Amino acid sequence: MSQGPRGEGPRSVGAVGEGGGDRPGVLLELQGVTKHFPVKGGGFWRKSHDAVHAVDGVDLQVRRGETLGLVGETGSGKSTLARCMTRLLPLTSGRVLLDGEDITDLKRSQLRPYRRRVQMIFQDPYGSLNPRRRVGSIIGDPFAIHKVADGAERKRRVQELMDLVGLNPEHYNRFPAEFSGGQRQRIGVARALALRPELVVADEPVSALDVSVRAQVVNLLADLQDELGLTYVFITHDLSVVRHVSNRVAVMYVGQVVELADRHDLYATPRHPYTKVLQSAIPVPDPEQSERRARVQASGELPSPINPPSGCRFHPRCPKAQPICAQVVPRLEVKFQDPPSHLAACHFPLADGEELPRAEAGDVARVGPGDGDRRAG
Amino acid sequence: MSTFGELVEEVAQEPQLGAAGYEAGVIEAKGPWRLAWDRLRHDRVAIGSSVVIVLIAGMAVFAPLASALTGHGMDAQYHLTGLTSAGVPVGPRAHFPWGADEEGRDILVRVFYGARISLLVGVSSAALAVAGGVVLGMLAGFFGGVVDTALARLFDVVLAMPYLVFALALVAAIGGQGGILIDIAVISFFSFGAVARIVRGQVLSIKEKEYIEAAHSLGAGSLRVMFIDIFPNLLAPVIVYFSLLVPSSIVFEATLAFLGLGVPPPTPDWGSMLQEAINWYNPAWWYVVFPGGALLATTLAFNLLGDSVRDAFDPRYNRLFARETE
Repeated sequence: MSQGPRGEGPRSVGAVGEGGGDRPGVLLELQGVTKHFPVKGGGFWRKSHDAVHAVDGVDLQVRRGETLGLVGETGSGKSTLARCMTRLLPLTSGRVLLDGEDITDLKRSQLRPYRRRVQMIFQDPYGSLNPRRRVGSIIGDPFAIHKVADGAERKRRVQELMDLVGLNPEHYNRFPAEFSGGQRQRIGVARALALRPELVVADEPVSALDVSVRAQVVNLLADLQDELGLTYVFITHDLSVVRHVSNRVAVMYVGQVVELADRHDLYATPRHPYTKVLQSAIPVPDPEQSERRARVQASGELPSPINPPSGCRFHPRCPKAQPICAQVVPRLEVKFQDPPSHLAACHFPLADGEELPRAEAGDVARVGPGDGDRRAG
Repeated sequence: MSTFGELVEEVAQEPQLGAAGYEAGVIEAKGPWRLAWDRLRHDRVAIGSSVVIVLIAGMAVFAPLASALTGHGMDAQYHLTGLTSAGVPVGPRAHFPWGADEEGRDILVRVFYGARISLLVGVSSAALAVAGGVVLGMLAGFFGGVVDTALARLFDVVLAMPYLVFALALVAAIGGQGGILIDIAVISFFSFGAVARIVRGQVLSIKEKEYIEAAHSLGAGSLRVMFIDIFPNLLAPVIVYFSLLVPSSIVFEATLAFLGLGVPPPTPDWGSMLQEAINWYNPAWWYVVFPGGALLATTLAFNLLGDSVRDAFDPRYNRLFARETE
């Protein structure tokens, strides 16, 4: 991992007390959030009792004004967690608290006032905009649904929003198909910001975009955060992006948070072997450097979330695994002399500067942050 | 790893790439409807079949004019001029351009009036079937679960019913007492199932789209999601299905009339004319050819137009067309 000129100082520092141990201005709190999806099928006579353990007992706090990055491989439950946070999915168990209020069991109609405060930006700029509706009407949806503005007033506010996110307000009457991917994502951002939400959950907002466009959208999101005082939960499988935008980062593996830390702590002293493996998978564009650096690999495939491994879920792939790892579930806690904000769930955390043993040759699958990497294994 | 950060800085320093930094589109924006319409306008088959449909509609509208010009009433019998001394219908001639039937009635006038019944029943039962199919299909697809199971089985039952047997039973039950409303009810009842099934399938796939999830995340209610977000995406297949359902309803109506279920006898109807022609087609070919030809031309025109409408909405054709014009 190379250190660039942009090592220190997050892009967006809200009104966050860095690393406070108590709960300064917690906006959203997740307590033991669990989401299981029943598996269809089984026999003709008997229903299957299997379930996909998409998210298993996640505790997280999102503080007002911060950007919390959520990283993990495809299938680690990031998106499901996002949909639990926004209550787009009912929880199997656990609680979601927004500003101290429990919104876990609210019905759809009761949730409506909270929808204004928590908004989502979606991953797919092509799928998240209705192809048969004009952009003005798509961005104006929040105003219509919450009966905030209509007629000329709605149009004026929609055009204001389009201007805010860098779209030409004259394109009000166009269809989504007439915009590029980056522009479409700006439309999604405008729609999410229409009602001035407090929390924006961005589910892989830039993964579908070209790298240069990606930077534009990331910048836009950061500028809007400064301007509007937003709180972000930023989900991505791209560690370099999350490093750029987040104040704190939570690393997920098969439905659980395995490490949670302030951004620079996580990158400087990763404690969980999985975090280390993920970091080493970030591509380095310089081939010479790429050759030189130690690439740590984890063997095997991402385990099935229907039958997650016992104990620590990473143990079948972990180079440091011991017998205890298969038996005892590690708790998410402070390791070594770390600040109280740095938590890891590992029986054998990595010490400062410790490298992982390289995996042996043979049937080796790289743990990569993305889809392609997994298939490449 | 730092390269992404550098890139972000670099991009931030280029204002023309950032906010509002692109030119307004020069190419005129065309919505999907506009593209479909443009394609349809340039489709020769569509234009040809539209012309035929307009002519048939003109026949229906101006049927009284035909009656006035020939001087023959719609169901008046002209035993002296319309039949030979042997009682055989006369063929096409100046007074009877399309010949006469066994009662000495003017076939041209009757075919013109018959267009009214065919078009009325065809269009209204297709519309009714589509409306019912869309509503029930949307409910089934959107709500799923028990609602879906119940409705989907209903569609299956309707589609599995042998409609000819049903029609024959109905003829036996009410005989010649049927009316246009019974026709429309029977036809739309047997047609809505197919529409509902298609709509249900479409809704099942549309409701998994991310933009539907986005609508839910904004707090939209079920009705709003169904009608504002899902319905516009159904419109294209529904229009196509409607345009293909009209000709099949016209044929269905003619079949029912042929079997004796339809408008009561003195009112001319293509199906019942063909039925009466059975005994006379040998000497009086015109008795079969003109009503049959009208029926054929109408259904063919509607079918071809329906095909063209489907092509016009097909995105592949959209793209082809876009390349042609730019």
